[in-house]
Parts: sequence; C-alpha cells; structure tokens
Amino acid sequence: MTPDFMTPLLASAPADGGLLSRGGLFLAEGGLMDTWTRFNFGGIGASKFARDADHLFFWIYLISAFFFVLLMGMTAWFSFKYRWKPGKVPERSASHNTYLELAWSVIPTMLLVWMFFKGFWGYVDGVISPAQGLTIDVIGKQWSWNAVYPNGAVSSESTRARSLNNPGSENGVQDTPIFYVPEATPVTLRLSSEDVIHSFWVPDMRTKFDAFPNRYTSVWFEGERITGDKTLPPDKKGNPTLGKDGKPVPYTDHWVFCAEYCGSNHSEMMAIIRVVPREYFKHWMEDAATPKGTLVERGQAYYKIKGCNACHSIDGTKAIGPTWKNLYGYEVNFTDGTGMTAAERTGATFAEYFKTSVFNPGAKIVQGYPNQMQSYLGRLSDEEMRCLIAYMSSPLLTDRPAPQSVDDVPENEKK
Amino acid sequence: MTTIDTRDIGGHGGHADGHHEGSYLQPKGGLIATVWDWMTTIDHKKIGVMYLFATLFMFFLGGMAALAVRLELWAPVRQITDAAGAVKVTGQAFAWYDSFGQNNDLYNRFFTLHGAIMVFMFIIPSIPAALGNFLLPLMVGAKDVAFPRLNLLSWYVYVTGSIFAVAAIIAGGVDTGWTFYTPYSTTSDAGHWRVVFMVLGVFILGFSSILTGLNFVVTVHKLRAPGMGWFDMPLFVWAIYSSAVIQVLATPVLAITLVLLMFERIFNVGVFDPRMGGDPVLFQHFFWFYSHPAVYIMILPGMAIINETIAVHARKKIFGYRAVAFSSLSIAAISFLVWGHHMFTSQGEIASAIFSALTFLVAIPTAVKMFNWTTTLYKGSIRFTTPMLYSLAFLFLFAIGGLTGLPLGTLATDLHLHDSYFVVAHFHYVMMGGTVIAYLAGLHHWWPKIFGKMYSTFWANVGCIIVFIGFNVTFFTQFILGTRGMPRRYASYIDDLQFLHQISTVGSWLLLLGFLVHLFVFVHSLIAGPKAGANPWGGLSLEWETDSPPIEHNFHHEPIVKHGPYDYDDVVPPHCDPKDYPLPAPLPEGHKGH
Repeated sequence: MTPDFMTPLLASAPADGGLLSRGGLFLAEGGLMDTWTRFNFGGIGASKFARDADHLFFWIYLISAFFFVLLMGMTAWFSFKYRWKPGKVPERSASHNTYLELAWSVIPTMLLVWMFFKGFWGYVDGVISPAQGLTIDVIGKQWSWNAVYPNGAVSSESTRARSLNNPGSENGVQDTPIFYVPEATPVTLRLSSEDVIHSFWVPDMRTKFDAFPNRYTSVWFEGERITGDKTLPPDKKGNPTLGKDGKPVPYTDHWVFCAEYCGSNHSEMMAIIRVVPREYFKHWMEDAATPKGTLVERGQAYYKIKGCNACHSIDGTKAIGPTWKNLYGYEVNFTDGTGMTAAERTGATFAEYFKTSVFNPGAKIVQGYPNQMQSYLGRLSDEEMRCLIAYMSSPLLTDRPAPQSVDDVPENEKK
Repeated sequence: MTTIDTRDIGGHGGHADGHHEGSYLQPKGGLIATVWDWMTTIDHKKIGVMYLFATLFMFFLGGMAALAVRLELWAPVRQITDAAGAVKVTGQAFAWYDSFGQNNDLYNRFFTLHGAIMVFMFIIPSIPAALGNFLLPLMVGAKDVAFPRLNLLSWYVYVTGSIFAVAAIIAGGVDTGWTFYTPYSTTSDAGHWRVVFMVLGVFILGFSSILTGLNFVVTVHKLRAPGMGWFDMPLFVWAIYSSAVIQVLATPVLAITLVLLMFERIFNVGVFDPRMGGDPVLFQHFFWFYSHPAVYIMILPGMAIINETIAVHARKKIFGYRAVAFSSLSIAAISFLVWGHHMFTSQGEIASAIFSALTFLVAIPTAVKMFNWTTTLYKGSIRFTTPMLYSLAFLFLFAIGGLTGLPLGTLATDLHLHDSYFVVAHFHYVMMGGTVIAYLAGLHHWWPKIFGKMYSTFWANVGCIIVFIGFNVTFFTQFILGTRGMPRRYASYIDDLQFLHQISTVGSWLLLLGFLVHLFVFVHSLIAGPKAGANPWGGLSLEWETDSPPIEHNFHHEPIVKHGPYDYDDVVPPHCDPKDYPLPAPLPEGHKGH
C-alpha cells in the first residue's frame, strides 16, 4: 500500500511521453519542478498567481539546496579529512582571506536582491485585485465564514466532509460552508470580521490575507478551468443537479482555512471554494439570493447563513452555546438564579426571550454556559428572526412544537 | 580519556604562594547555612547555576506541553455516530477534560503554555543568564559582573515573573498564544484575570532580562583583564554582548505594550480594541518591535557558543574573526528594522516591500557566519566530542532554518506560507535546531568547568544522535505539512494530513527519549562522574586557566592576557600536556603570521 502522503507524487507521472518530450527536465509536466511542486504542495497551484509563486519558490529552493549541499559537503569532508589522530601535528593555515570573505558576502547578496524583486513583483500581482473582478463580501466571525454576493445572495450550502476526495468523510464536528465562484473569472473577496482577527487562506491559490474588525482587506484569485471529473451531487430531495443544457455540472473544490488564531474552534473555521462553470454560477447566484419555501425552511437556511450553527447544535449535543433542540416549550434556569417555565417558553414570551438573547446575549445566561456570544443587533432583520423562531418552534427542533396547522389545535366544544 | 588532565599544575603561579581558595561549590557549613548562602549569593557563578536549573525546569514544563500538543494532533477531531446511534467526538487526546464540551480549549492552552514558557522563561534567559552569567566574567578575566547585586535581583525577578505566569496557568489556563494578539486577548475570557496575570508575569520577566543585559554590557566595557583589547575577546563574548544590547534596548518596548494591554483590559482605555476606537494592527507593530529583536536575543547566544565549541574542538582560530564579530553586531542592529515581516498579510504593500528588503539584509551576516564556521574546520584537528557533535548538528539544522527563511522573506511566496506549519518548522529549526542545540553543545562543553565532573562521552553522543534524528523527524515533516496547507494553532485538520502529523508525533517521542538520555548522563556525572581537569578540551580562553570548578574569586591572580583566545598554532593550552596538543612548526623568522 502506498502511504497517502505519496499520492500527489504518483499523480505526477506523465500520461504519455518522457520527461523531455514535454518541454524540458525542469518545467515539464512530470519534470523536476512539477514533481517537486506536487510533493510539496499536494498539487499544482489553482491560479496563475499560485503557479508563478510556486515557480519562484522552486528557484529559491534550488538556490537553497545548492548552498546547503555546499556547506554540508564542506563540513562533512573537512570533518573526515581533518579528524584528530593521536600524535598528528596540525598544519598551519590562514585564519582569514579577504577575497574569499568578500565573495561569500557579495554573491549571496546578489541572489537576495533578485529574490526580493521577484517576490515584490509577484506580491503586487497577488494582493492588488483587478478593478473588474467580481466582488464578494466575506465576513469572518468566531468560528465561521459567511459570503454575501453582489445581488445579496448568501451561501447556505454546507458539508461536514473533511476530505475533498472522499465523500464518505462527512464527520467533521462543524458545518463547513461552500462558496460558489465562477470558473476562469477574477474574483475579489472583500474581507471583514465581526469580532477578532481572522485570516482567509486558500492553500490551492497560494494566497491569504487577514480579516479585521475595523477595516476592509481583500484576497483575490482567478479560479482556473475546472479540473477533474467531479460533478455536483443531487440536491437534498434527491433530484439531480443539472446545468441548463441538462448535463451534470462539473466543479473543483478548494479548502479555505482560518490562519489567524481566533479561539476555541479556530481549527473548525473552514470553508470550501467551489469553482463552477460561469453559466451555472449565474443561475446559482440568482437562485441563492433569497431562501425559498416556508418560514421553517427559510429559518433552517438562516440558521446556517447567519452562523448560528457555529455555536448551537440542533441535535442536542452540547456545544459552545445551548443546543436548539428542545429549547422551545421546555423550562430553563439562568445563572442569575431566575428561570423560565415551560409555558413561558412558548408563544410571545419565547419570542421576546429569543430576541433579547440575540440582541443582548449577556442579559440571561443559561446555566452551565459561558457569557461568550456577541450581539446580533443590526445583523438580523425582523423577517429573519421570524423565520428562526418558526424553525425553533417546529417539530424539527422541539418535541413540544407550536401548532403548525389548525388540525394541531383541538376544536372547542360547541355551545 | 587522553584529553583529561587531572594533574595539579602550578605553572601559572596559581598555588605558588601557598594561598588556597576553595571551589565555589564548597558548602558553607550545614544545610541551612548552605541554602542561605546560595539564596543570598552575589557570586555570578552561583547565580548562573541557579539560572541553569531554573531554565532547565522551565524547559521541562514547556517540553511537556509540546508533547501534549503533538499527542492531540495524532488524530483529527471528528464527530461520529456509533452503532447505537449515539453521537460522539473522537480524536481528542484530552477528552476526559470537560470544559463546556469543547476540548479544543485545552489544546489551545497547551500550545500557549508551550510558546510562552519556551520563549519568555526558557530560550531568552537560558544561554545568557545561565552560561553567560557563569562564563562572561571568567572569559574577560574579571572577578564578577559589574553589578553583582543587580545580578541576584534579576534572578529573583525572573522567578517572580515565572511564578506569576505559572499561577495564571494553574488558575485555569490562558489560550491566547504567546503573541497575545488583540482583540482576542482583550475580549476573550471576559471578567477573568488570567490573561492579565500572564501578561504581568511576562512584564516582570522583561525586567530580569534588562538587568542581565545591562550587567553584561557594563562588564564587557569596564572589567576586561589587562591586555585584553576588544579584538582579543573570545567571540562568545562578542555575541553575548550583542544580544545584551538588544535586551536593554528592545525589552522596554514590550513592557510598554504590555502595560497598554493591561490598561485596555482593566480600565477600558481603547488602544488596540476597535470597539473602543483602537487598532489591533498597532498591537502587532508594538509586539513585534520587541519580539523580532527578541528572536536575535535568542539566536545570538547560540551562535556565541558555536564560536567557542567549533574553535576549541577543531583547534582552529575562527576563520575571519573580525567578520564574525561584526556580523554579530550587524545582526543586532538590523534586527530592530525587520519586525514588519510578521505582518505581510496584514499591512499595506509599501510597508511589506520595505520590510521584505530589510529582512533579506539580515540574511547576509548570517550567511557570512555559516561560511566562516564551515571554513574554520579546514585543516583543523577535529575531535568528535559531544560538544563537537552538537556543533555539527547545529550547522546542519541552522542551515536549514536559515535557508527556509528565504521563501518566508520573499513576499510572493510568503502569502501562502504565512501562519502555516512551514513557519512553525522554520522557527523550530532556528530556535530549537539553533539555540537549544547550541545550548546543549555549550552545556557539554562547559559542564566539566561548572561542576568539575566529567560525563560519559559515549552516552552523551548517543543522546545527541537520538535528539538529532528525533528533531528532524518531528520538524522536517512540518515543512511539508505547511506547504500542503496546514495552518498554525489548529487542534484538528483535514484527513489528507494525518499521516504526516503522525510522523511528526513519533519524532516528538524520539526527542523525549534523547533528552532523557542526557538527563541520566548529567545526573550520573554529578553523582559518580570522574573529576574533570582544569582544561579537559585544551581551550585557550581565560576560563580554562582557572580550576574546575573555579575558585570563589575566579582566578588566583588577576590574569594578564598575553595571547589571543584562538592561538592554537602557537600556544600550548594551560594545564595541558604538549604531547596531547602538538604545535605546528614555528613560523620562520620575520614572518608576521596571519
């Protein structure tokens, strides 16, 4: 069995022809640089900037390897040749040599100057986004990412997969949102944060930038042509996801990680960038602009869109905040000694409690939990709140749901 | 061993006048009197030894935290549904510790502990305060440091600061990372005082560092023995001097930053927190304005040791003495100008460009040192003692550490590598592969001088080889983890990275094994080691003139310097048999030498 960390290497074997037939030992597919890149990075860069950066890295690596071998070769050779032997009288030798010392100051300096300029030019390409790029707002919060598209669309799709190659790996402890971006199109992500500093890193694109609570920054990339033969999975109801032409839709996924430490679940603050064909993207963005369906279904969508899922589970497991399972219709105790009865946790009193908890989270703290939530004041509309309350009071989340239809309410005896 | 000479040679006039002084280790009466003597001593050697044990204890604590970090990373954190339909979380090494059901908190505290202890309580004080304190006055031929009482005060300040920081840990842990980045450090854990205590501890530790640095600078300027010009000083002294200058100049900035942090935390003065009108990037500038020079406070003493161990065990004058001395000073100077390279992903393009250029500048004196050390071996007479093995390991690991700094200093490639495991691997190759390995070289080199006992060279060499292999297994994999997309400070990771993480964890166990071997070697040496001669390695710097262990006043007579510290071709080392250290044929008349 091949250890899985070797697979990127095996993938580099050229499909046809030898090394030289593809344009030289270094640069060819399957050549030295290609193999080195696949081993080091687990794959070829997914944007032009990424491939340029890898190219520069490769040359720096070669220069470093040269000097490392030179220094260690000298060390090993001298250590062997001039090892001490009993009675051996050492020779005299020079203890400095101006020309030699100048040489090993000046030659590295020249190489360093070259490295600096190559790095600076590449950096300018990497951080200054083109004016014509599609701009998507990406907002970081502890511990999730949210994307808002130019037409107001938000991404509500998510996965718990922890491997892009293995659909069976859906056992992450937290949902990972999926952000759709169009193929072969410059995309600028405008970064901001709602709490502490985060950093948006797309390893496949070889770029990252920090997201701050007090300023906008950006990351941009041009999603390459889709590679591989993966097509979009069927939707939740089992209907196949097809493009306008009726064919399955190809896509390529890229991991996003938060690279600036931000607290408890820093390591779960991930996302997936999904590159899809332009035509499909257009259709998807229009579709995603408004969650559709009943209040409950929309509430289900907002639960993820608004990032509630980062701290509140819906299956009863204890996370950073109280679970939403059986919140509605059940009594609760607060840290200040007060509490609410089961009856108070229904109807308008529940709605008022929920609103207070969202806008002023410190007002009532459920026993056994820290006071950690940030206020959502100004970040949740009445409509969105209505949907969330409908979701919480539905049979999906509580065993004592609010009546969902007239049939749920017994008819009074006729007088 | 043929190199150990246990004879009592009076050739330097040491005992000629019949005046006998005891070793500084000699107990002063009963147990209580001896303890009191140590607690109130102003002898730089005793303070150095107390620092040695205090820092090694901190190294042990920080190392345990590191092992815990690697253990957690053996498997990623996953949520699975078992056959009975129950949901459970796997992959948490410390699941028995329940903190609101989210055990990543414990991992976050472990890496904070590891970083804070290793940086503030181990690496920064280790070489200067332990070996530097012991050796610097001996090497310049002085009786003590310039301000012996300040020296003792610095030890107590160090212990107080460490207790504060450890108290913060026992009180429940701090999870900000050793960098205390705002606004996380000021907003997390609201209502509690853990971060304030931890920061206060670091603040106090800073003063200990300043006092030590000040003492060394004045000692080097004022207390050199007659005949010792600046360029007759051992290169150890040059490098310790350079790092002392940084300690004095940079540490106050950290103190100011931490005071501002405490003001924000306690009195809600908005300096860094954007909700109060502050700017979190300002904190990063302040923090790294100290902490980048601090990196050189950490590595320069490592280089200091290597300057001595390579010269003595290869019996060669360090090639290009002046270039090495000036490269220490220029590293110290440039170190103040490169802090912005910690912010390539958070500041503007122009600032990044300037800091990138300045960062490359620091590579030049470092490269010069590497070439000079390597060339020193040429035509030497190299003995593979433990200090020499560790010096060779240092050259190998520090070369990797230095060269992997290049893609981090290069802006275009750093965008990917910033805050990834590549950075983690890089600074461990520099800080551990550089400084800690050099510390071990120095400890084995001066152990006979400090304690007057020899150790088993065979077992020490075995330990060295295990540490070297374990180190590379642990940290080389982390370069590849980083380039493949592993971010720093993650308690969990994607499936594809597990194999590499497991290799790294196995490496950490090898490191543990290697350090245990050293521990046994040292304990055995203290209990049952053979007595060491005054000059077991044939060194020429002044500390080898005096007894092992040195007498309380260091030298029987004030030494007068008549030869350079590396004139192995012309001088038979003190207390040594010329047969063991044969000299090359003298130069013909009129030849000026090199």
